[in-house]
Amino acid sequence: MGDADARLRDAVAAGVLDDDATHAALLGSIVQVARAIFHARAASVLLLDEAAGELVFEAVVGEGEDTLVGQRFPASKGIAGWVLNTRQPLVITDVTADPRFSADTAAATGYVPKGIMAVPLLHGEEALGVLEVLDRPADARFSIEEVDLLGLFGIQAAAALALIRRARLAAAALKGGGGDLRALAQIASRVAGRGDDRAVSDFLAALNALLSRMDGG
Amino acid sequence: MSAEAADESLPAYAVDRTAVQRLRGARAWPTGVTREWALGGSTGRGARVCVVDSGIEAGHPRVGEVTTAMAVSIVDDEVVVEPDTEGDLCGHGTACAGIIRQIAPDCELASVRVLGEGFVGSGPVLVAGLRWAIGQGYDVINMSLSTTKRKFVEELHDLADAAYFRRSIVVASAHNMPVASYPWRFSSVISVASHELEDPLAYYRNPDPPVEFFARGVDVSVAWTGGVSMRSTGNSFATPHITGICALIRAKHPDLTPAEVKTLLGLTAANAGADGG
Amino acid sequence: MWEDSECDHRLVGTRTPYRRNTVGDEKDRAPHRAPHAADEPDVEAHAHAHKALPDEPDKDQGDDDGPDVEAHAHAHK
Repeated sequence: MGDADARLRDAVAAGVLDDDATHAALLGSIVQVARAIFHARAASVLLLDEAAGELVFEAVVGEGEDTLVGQRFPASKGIAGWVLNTRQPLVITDVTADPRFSADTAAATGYVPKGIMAVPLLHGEEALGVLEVLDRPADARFSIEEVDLLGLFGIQAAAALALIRRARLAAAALKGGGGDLRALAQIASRVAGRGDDRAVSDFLAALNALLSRMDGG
Repeated sequence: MSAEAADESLPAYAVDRTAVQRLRGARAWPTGVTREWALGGSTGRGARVCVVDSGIEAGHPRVGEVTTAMAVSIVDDEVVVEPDTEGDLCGHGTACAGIIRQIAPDCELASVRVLGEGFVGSGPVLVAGLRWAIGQGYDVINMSLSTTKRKFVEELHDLADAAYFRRSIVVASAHNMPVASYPWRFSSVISVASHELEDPLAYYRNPDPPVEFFARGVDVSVAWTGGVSMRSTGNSFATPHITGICALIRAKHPDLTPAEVKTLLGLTAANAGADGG
Repeated sequence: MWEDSECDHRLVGTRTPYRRNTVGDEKDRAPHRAPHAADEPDVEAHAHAHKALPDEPDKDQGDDDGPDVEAHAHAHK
């Protein structure tokens, strides 16, 4: 795809994709349900920032929900780092005895859990991040059914993260573009926002006609 | 060696009326196939099993002798398969080998190391390791790993087919997450996931593939590097249970093809004959 | 020799976690690949450690050369 085409596509994508707040709400609802279903003290989704080599808290519910969003740590560290890199789920009852656990990373978050269930967020061939459920009730018995269930939440969270990542990349690309692209994004946004199909198709027909005249001219 | 070169001769597309009388057919199965017929009395003696994994710690009390150990690496953009001098880099292969040894104590165990200490590895290395194992004609090949990368699918699929036709039974573990990865999703391999029961010889046929069988995979006591044992969970450990059982079957019935062994597993599974099974 | 264990319906037919199609459509991938994508592993092992507990006393387990996964106590054992 040519450079100009890519910028146009990003502009339209930036206009039609939901804003960060909507995506945040989606991700937030996923962790809320995960936490509720497992009766856990906290649940969180971490996004991998590949360029920085860091995991960043994107959604947190329960312990730390007021402070953790946006916090980062190296993507190779801790249980989350292990799960991200091996792409396998992990359930640990007492993290303090596990050498993979990074006590200082946890301490920096202000909440040190005892038990962690973590699954990688896989989207296509990539690992986008990690979903963690912290401190289930002490008498909770491990079962593979629960890991499967957490895996299902992982699918949802991965899809949401993929959307978020695309939207942010598109927005960043748009920033580098000129005023025309921004205008295009705004137009695309308004078209997408209208529930009125007839108005949309009229607009697109007019746009097509304009483009044809430009091609012919 | 390419997958094509792995074929011994070109397949026959037709057979004349004289030759058809001389075709060696399958041995007759008993009218009622039982586990006793399938593997009763077998210790795995004579079956050769290869673990394609992170290596095996030879001499581990739960593993014993490892007849051959190879390692695959990339040197100057070339894939090299050579004798392994490092053994198991993370414990995973040793764990699988220990389970196989437990089920089929007298089988011959071999190792091809394709995974590193982070439990992960590279696609070309995996492909080369599998190719080598197939070329050696192992009876059963244990693969408690997979790749999600589609660019390796075609080669892996060709190799799985080559193994199938050369009578090497590939037993592959399903991913622990609900994602597509390979080679377990190929129909030419036996795919395995976990059940939570404790009997190491209990396996169930899954009527809803692509996972075809469930075997013991939760809270399994496994061998680990350092001569120790520990408990772990995962489809990685269900798979060698089936590998061991296939070794028992193959030792007792060396002429069975992979398809016949898979059928036999289904007919002798714990849920065989159950309503709707 | 083994008797028919109770057939848990979770195991037979109703549990089909791996019947789903691939998670994520290839075409949905973000348009700009990050520079470190080439470092992602191609092949993964399928162990996920629930707990790691040595069944026997450790025999000369090396300190720094120890395995990735080490023993730790489980609350219910």
